[in-house]
Amino acid sequence: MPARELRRWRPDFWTMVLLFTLLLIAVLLFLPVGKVFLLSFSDAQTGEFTFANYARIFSHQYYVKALNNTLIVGVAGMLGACVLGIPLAYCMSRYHIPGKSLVSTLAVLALVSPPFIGAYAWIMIFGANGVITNWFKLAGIQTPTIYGYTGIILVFSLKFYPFVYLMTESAFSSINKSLEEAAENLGCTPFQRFRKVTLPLVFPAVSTGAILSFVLSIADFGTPSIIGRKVRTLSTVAYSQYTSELGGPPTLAVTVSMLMIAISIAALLLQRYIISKKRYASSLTNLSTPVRLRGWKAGLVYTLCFSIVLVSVFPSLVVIYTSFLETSGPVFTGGFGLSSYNRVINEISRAVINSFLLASVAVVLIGLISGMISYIIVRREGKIGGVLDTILMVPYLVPGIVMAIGFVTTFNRWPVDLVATATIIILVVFIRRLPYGVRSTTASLRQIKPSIEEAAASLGARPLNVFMQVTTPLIMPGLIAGAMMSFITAINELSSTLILYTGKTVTMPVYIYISVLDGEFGIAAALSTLLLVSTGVCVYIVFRISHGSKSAFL
Amino acid sequence: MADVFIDRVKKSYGSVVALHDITLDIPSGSFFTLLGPSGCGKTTLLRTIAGFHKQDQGSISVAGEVLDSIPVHRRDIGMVFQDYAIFPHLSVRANIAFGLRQRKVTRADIRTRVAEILRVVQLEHLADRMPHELSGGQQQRVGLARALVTRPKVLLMDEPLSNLDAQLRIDLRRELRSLQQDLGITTIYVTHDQEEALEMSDHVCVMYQGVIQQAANPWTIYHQPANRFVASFVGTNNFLPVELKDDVPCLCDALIGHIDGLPADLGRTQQVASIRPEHIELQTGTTLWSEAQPSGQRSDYVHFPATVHYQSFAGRELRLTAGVADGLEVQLITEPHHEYLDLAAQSPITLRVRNDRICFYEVGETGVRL
Repeated sequence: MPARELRRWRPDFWTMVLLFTLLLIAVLLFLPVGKVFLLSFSDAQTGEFTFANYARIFSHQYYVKALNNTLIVGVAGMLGACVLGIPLAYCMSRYHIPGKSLVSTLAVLALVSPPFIGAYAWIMIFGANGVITNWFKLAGIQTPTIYGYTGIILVFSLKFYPFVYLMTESAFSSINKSLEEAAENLGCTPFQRFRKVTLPLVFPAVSTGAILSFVLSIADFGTPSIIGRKVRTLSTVAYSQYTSELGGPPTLAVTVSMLMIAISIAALLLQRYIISKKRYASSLTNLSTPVRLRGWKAGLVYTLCFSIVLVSVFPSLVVIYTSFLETSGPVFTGGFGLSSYNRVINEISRAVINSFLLASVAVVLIGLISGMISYIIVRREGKIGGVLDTILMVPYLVPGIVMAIGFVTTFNRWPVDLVATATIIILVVFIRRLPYGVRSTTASLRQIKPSIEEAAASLGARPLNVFMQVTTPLIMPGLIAGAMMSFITAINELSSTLILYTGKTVTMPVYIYISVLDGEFGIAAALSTLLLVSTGVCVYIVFRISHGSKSAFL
Repeated sequence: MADVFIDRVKKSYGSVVALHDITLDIPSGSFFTLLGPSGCGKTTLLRTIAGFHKQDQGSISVAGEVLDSIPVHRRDIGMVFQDYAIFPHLSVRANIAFGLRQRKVTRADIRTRVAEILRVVQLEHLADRMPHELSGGQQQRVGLARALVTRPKVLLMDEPLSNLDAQLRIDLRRELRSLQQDLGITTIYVTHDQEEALEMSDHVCVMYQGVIQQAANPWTIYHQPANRFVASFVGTNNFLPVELKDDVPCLCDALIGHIDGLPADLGRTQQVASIRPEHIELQTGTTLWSEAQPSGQRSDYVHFPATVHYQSFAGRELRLTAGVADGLEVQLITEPHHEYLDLAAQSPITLRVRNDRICFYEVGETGVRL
């Protein structure tokens, strides 16, 4: 027999990694999302193909209202984020501001703290029995309600403005000053100049931040559920629909879910379409230097910058303060004490341990795999890298509730029955947060010249050795930053865990959510403080690794 | 010690042909240079030999062994990179030991072999430094030591000197060449610097648009370019159209005398002549040589009347641009005599070139030499 036929097809190392990655994505991403998609077109009883679910949703006031509400709070949250983020970015990039790094650190902290904490903190301040509400009551003044649209939009604006700010600030700083000077020289007033020259130039960055705010706003579950009261959004409707459909196939819940995915995708495509026509080459030749302000202008600008970031971290401060108030059961008895923490340690240490354990396992998995996926995205010849990069956008677009429903309806029977296990929570968190890890390591890897890896190969190192001995040490900062970012989002995960948890796998965010609904604000505050502290530690590590660069948080 | 045989290798990226039927036989122990402008395919060919690219067709063998299905890390070919590609997280010593570690060489052997190669590249005093503490030249010595210490069959170098300062580049040329000769290692060297290629190589292969234009020793490349591209890329050349006047080929209104071996109908089809600047002789005034020449008699020289357009004194030589017939200009290089330095613009001068110094090519970018 000729030698040629004896030789079997033996894929090289990276081909095997690629196949494994594709398998992983197929099973953990496409299968559950596909299942949700198919289920939305099937009859709950017979399982036959039908459009009835969609027909029902679009003909019932309950769902149509939820759809409207989702779009309203999504758009309003996005606009609110822009209203806060763009001026802050402009001031921070154009003016000399004392305590600049404090401002951006506070903005980052506001960004990474979980939104449901903001929601219930605002209730503690402005809610029916809130601190400030009660003051005004004493004075005989009726304050407007915080519940409903007001609260949701307030929380979303204060939570998501840092996306707009961080994206736009770097765009403002990289505008060639000559362009603005040319505009003035051609007779523009300062306002015209800003509107006709500066704003169009930062538009791509603004729109990216805005679209992120929008997608996250419509996907958020905790905020509308805690502060929305009668204002239901698609995510709260999907959740309550899912819990009421337990036992049967959750066809209506998944149909609502599909609607959420469709809105996210539509928003993303719209943004892509808009900026595809506005791509400007930028030259970094004549950058503007921050102006030192004097007099009332300085006071105005400083007040603006600091009030935005302080208001946005205010809920966290309230929560931390509250956690040290003495309680007796759900009632604050006045004075300070550690009773809330005692209750956390004695009654619900399981939630604390679970949170750290589940998030850590998910993040270790993310760390192990994201480096290899990045390698394929950056180094592999051909189109597959770009395709993989695009596929990893999908988890951003699938709300946590939807992903969780997808997993529950997919992995609920032989051969893979994961219902009510810790594994299912880990896997959902893994696939939802994998893009954070991959993005961070991909950015690191792009900085490394391919010739360094080629040199290792030409010196006789096998592909795995090249990756372990050369690539990995060099992308370690990106790997750690990505892992920290994944950890922050994983430990704060509420929406998917709420569907997947059992008594054994309850986590801190779930317990906070339950406590808030039960009016146990002391416990909620103590748990939230723990989350905030661990988040803060991760942020500190990322700052140290990325030498103060804020881009790691986007 | 190994010879390299490249057999009808083709490679294209989409519709762009990077390597067009490359066949080369590189003798064992030789210093072989691939020379050409950027995008000519020289680096693609080098990287295909290393195994970073896979050719579409053809095969590459080293010392008789066909490499085509052997992955990079088992080819046993050393490579030195343009950007040094030193591992930034490893010390100089660890960088050099990297290849030996992969080959599972014993600790003691690694120690002696690294020490030995450090001595050869004169880096003993920097063995424990980290790469960022090294200058570009030192980094490239590490790159060289790292490639040589594994005793590869073939050494590939991809423009290793192009990121260095001019003077260091010239010093290192000589050092690299003598090291290569001492070790007798077959070396394939890529450069776009023709001076570097001529100075260092046993053989030079000029490439353009994925095609080998000429592969020969440096002397032949310079003095007998195979086509017009080689003539223009290697060294400086003046190109002048050959015209017919009363059925006699002329160069800028001057008759071309008899040249051995040229086709008799020279000038009947369109042709181009090339003259190296250093082969043009200069005489002030208009008369001297031409008067000494009995008219009508065949001469060994072609004479041109010309005017001075521009001259620059560069120390050991004088570079002069002169206008000849039909608005054409020629460059020439001559010794800087005082009488030349004093020539004002538009002064009349006479140029002459020995007939056998003139090369003739078919027209076109790569027109062959006649």
